[in-house]
Amino acid sequence: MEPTQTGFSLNKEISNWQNIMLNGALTPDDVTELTQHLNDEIAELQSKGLNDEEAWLIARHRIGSPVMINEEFEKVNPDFIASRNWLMLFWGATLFMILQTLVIVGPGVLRFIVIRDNTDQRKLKPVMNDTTLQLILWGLCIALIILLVVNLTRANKISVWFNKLLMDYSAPISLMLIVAGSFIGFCNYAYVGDQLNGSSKFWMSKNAEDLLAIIFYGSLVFSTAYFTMRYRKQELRSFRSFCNQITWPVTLIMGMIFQLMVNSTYMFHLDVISIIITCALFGLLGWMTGHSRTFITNLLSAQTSALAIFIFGFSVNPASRLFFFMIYLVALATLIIGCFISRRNNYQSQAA
Amino acid sequence: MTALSKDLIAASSIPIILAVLNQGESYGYEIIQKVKETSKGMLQFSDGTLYPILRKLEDKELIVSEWRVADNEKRRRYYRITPKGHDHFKTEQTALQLINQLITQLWNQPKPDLA
Repeated sequence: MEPTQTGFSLNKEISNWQNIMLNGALTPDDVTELTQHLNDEIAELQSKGLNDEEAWLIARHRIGSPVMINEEFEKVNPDFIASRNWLMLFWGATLFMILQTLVIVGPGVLRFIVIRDNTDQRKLKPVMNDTTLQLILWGLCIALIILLVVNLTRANKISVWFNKLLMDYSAPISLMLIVAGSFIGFCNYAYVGDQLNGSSKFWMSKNAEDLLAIIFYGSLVFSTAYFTMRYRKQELRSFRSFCNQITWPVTLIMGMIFQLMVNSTYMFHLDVISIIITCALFGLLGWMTGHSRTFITNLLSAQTSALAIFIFGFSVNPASRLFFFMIYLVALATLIIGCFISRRNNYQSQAA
Repeated sequence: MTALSKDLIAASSIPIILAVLNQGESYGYEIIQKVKETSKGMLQFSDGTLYPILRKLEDKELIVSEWRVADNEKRRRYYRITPKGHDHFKTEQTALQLINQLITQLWNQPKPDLA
């Protein structure tokens, strides 16, 4: 639909309206559905002889004001705005990690890349001399300043573009993020770890350090990818609806992440801390599982990681068998208690 | 034409939507059109507020939705009533018939002679 002589463009108006709706409590799916409704209404009015502008004004009036629609959707999508903010926060952290690799880790690594000297094959020389490296660093500085200026002056357009990008290409972006993000996270960790270990004796053991890095970068990359995948879907609109849609692979992954978090507490050598963290994390997982449809399968899958760690710890570390047994027992008990509480709450609310 | 109050429309919206979906699966715009046609224009939902009601019904597992590409190549979300929704509709139907009978009886009862 081309702009009319009065400068009215139906496509532009619909696009502006969509952008307004996307800033509220409506999920991308809700906006797509309402846009389809609006298009149906406009098509019907146009078939009765109305022009684009008239059809648009009537259809927009019939569908209701954005404020009123937003208020109604806030009642059914109570957690969506918070979820979207979290997703953007995750993306902010991920993009910062990528930028860090490009402007700090990348040039840092370039210093160490060497090739054989043409004049003397036994000698190695750096690929980049200091002048080239300085030029690259200056170029990066200028690129960063341009990025900052563009971000400040075109913030709204960038946010709309990024939102649409996540909506339209959520699956390929998530897949790309898992592959590239894991590599970038590894590069960052390897560089930072190398700098820290080279300069001073770190108080943590190498294993604990690796574990923390896996938890930090792994949870960042996978959370961003997972929430991006689900962005279009309705589950994110409320915490309960998300829990309702949980399947066994989700509880398996969550169980693994939670168990990794529990394992990271072992370095404190304080059993109480490990037990408290186990109670909190597995209690929450149990509560979430209790809301799901196939809660028994999900419960079995949620405890798999804890069971695996118990079996592994029991067989390789005879001195700590009691500890591993205790942690598994606590994880299992809190999972079941959490699940029982949420099931009971569900029955009570349904009965009410 | 008798104007229906907003409260009455809000109270009857769930049984009306379930009644439409009981006839077969449908999408938002079509549900509104069916209600408008059947009521001869007397009852029309505010378009934007129909969808939150549909979400509520989905949360209660009374209906389910599915995105599909229609014959005209348009991507639409179709809603279908579930067995639980069907049972709920039957219960609501009985209750509404009872209320209707009660109101009709009370309305037609002769006024008591106060003299």
